[in-house]
Amino acid sequence: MPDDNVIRAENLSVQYKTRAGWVSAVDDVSLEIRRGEILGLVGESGCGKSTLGKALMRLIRHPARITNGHIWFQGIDLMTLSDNEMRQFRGRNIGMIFQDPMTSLNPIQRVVEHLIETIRTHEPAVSDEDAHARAADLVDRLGISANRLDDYPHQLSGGMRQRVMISLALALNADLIIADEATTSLDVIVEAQFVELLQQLCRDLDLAILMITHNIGLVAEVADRVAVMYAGRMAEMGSACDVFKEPLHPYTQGLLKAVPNIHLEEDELYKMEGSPPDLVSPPPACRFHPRCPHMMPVCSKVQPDFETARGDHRTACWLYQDVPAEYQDVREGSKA
Amino acid sequence: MTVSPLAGVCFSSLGVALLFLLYAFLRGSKGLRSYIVTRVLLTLPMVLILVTIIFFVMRVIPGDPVTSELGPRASEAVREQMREQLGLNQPIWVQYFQYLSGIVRLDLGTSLIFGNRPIVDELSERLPATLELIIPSAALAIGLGVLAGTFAAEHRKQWPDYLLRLFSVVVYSIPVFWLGLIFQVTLGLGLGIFPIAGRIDPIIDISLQRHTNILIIDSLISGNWPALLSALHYLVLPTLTLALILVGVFIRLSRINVIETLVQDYITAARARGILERVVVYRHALSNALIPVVTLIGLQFSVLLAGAVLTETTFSWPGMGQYLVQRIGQRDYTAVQSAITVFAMSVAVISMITDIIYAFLDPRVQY
Repeated sequence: MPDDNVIRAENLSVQYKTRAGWVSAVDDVSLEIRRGEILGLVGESGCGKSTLGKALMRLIRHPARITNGHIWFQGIDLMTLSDNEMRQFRGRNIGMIFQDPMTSLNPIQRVVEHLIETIRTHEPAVSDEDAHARAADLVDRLGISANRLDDYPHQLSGGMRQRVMISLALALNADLIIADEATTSLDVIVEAQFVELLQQLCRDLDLAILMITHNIGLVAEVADRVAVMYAGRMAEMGSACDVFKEPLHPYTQGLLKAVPNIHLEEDELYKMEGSPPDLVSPPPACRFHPRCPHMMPVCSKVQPDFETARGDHRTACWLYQDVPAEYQDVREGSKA
Repeated sequence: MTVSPLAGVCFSSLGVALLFLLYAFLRGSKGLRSYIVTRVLLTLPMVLILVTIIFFVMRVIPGDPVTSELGPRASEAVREQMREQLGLNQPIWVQYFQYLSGIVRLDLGTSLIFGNRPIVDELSERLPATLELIIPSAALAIGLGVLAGTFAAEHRKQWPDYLLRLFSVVVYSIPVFWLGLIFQVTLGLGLGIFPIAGRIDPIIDISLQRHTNILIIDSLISGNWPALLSALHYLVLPTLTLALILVGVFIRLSRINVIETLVQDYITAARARGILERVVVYRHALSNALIPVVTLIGLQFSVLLAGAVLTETTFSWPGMGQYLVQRIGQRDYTAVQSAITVFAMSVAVISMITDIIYAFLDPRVQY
């Protein structure tokens, strides 16, 4: 059955092996990205959004592994592919742009060598000259003059480097681009240009783009749909309009309230960040319940499903679901 | 004056260095070119300072060539005659400039103990022997060290990694002469597979015409295959000994550098573009990890020379190291001074070349 989804992840889980045991970085997450749309994936640092982005390309390496789930990419389950088949998917069908353009290009390779290598890895029949011509064409479309091709990465500005990363992601006409915090290290003006470029590419080439970021303002501006992650789980997903106007999950509500101070908020609230022992024993059931202003008894006992609340607007919160009967009447006093 | 073998060796090694410099100069950017010129020019004062230090240190260390040559009971007249003969009666700055001009003219004086044999002639037998020993040893140590280090990094925290790490610590801690003796006793005397002393079978040696005194090259030039085989046969144990001393450092350094590069973003980015894992490790990671290793090669060169002194002594290898040790014992001042000068200059040239290789490999180096 043909559908509009370029990629659809089903019940995807990723675990990291630490000294303290297996840590769930991504837990039972499902999402889909459609052709011609930008899906913004937001959440605090350490919530698993980057891991999810890598998991979609099966770029998760030891000591982490994908423990469960399916990744449907145009009708093929990527989880069933061999390592080599998966490798051929990367770069050809899915492109990725990374957080720091300073460090995501090989410092001792010229820009053009990156492009030629990528093109010829996937299309070995292409001659060096043809690959060179395609590389020139590619960067030209992205507003970099072809005479910068022989430069080394350190000779380019941050914005240019990030455009080189896009050209690499698009070198083989990928259908899906995963931009992992791709604007974090750019200054505001370059960021605006970069985001505009992404939007334009998304329209012109009918791409699906997953934009992973902690910048809520950016997502509000460019994303068609928004997904919110908390502690490795999907908290809420819906059209940008719905999520920003009527956030359902208490976490999203808090997040939106905190927008002006979002960086301060991270420092104050996020205990789990960077300390695996905390993720080894996350709060039971709904992981947000210790911080939730609407906490109910059921929240610490049973994990709510991630399901439709209104139309295409999904959330994992008991406020919008029927609480199981045995928890409905539990009150403070009746426990004794 | 005919070109002595020493000059031949000096010029051919300098020729190889110059070829590399020319290549880097032509391939490189404008910045790299001016860097090469600057670095080469900077080597000249460095060499000058080195030979100056050698000259004055040789004059202030206790002992006196005249006394050591003639003995304490020689009469003053004989001493004076000897001083005159050696030029030691002249003012120190005159001696200094004679020494400098001697180096430029490749005339290092004559040996104090072996009649009037020119030092240059002695060195033209000794230096090629040392080159023949250290070049294959260094190549072996660097080649194997880098490959093994990369292999260990690839299999980090698995048994090949643990084995290689253990191996590198063990060989690094073993004294050269002990390792040499063990090889001599086991592979040499015990199993009788390899000869334990000398450079070539003495009988075959008679048939070999010398050009450069590097026996492998000489036998190749004259097409003397038995000589080539014999030279290689004699080379095995000393080379193995010297290479093992160095290989540990290269294994450990390559390993840690490859591990560090493998977690870099551009490695993940290369994987995300579907680049083959083999290419990711051996092209992207290794070429970046090699940059600090190149620097180490320059630094380890002096260790290599020190190791060569011990290896040559152990295997009666008639090279520079053995020469230096013998002549120090015999208080042959001109010989010692000349040998040290050759060592110092080769260290200066090697460090210049590694610096330029470094700049050539890493486009980020600011000139």
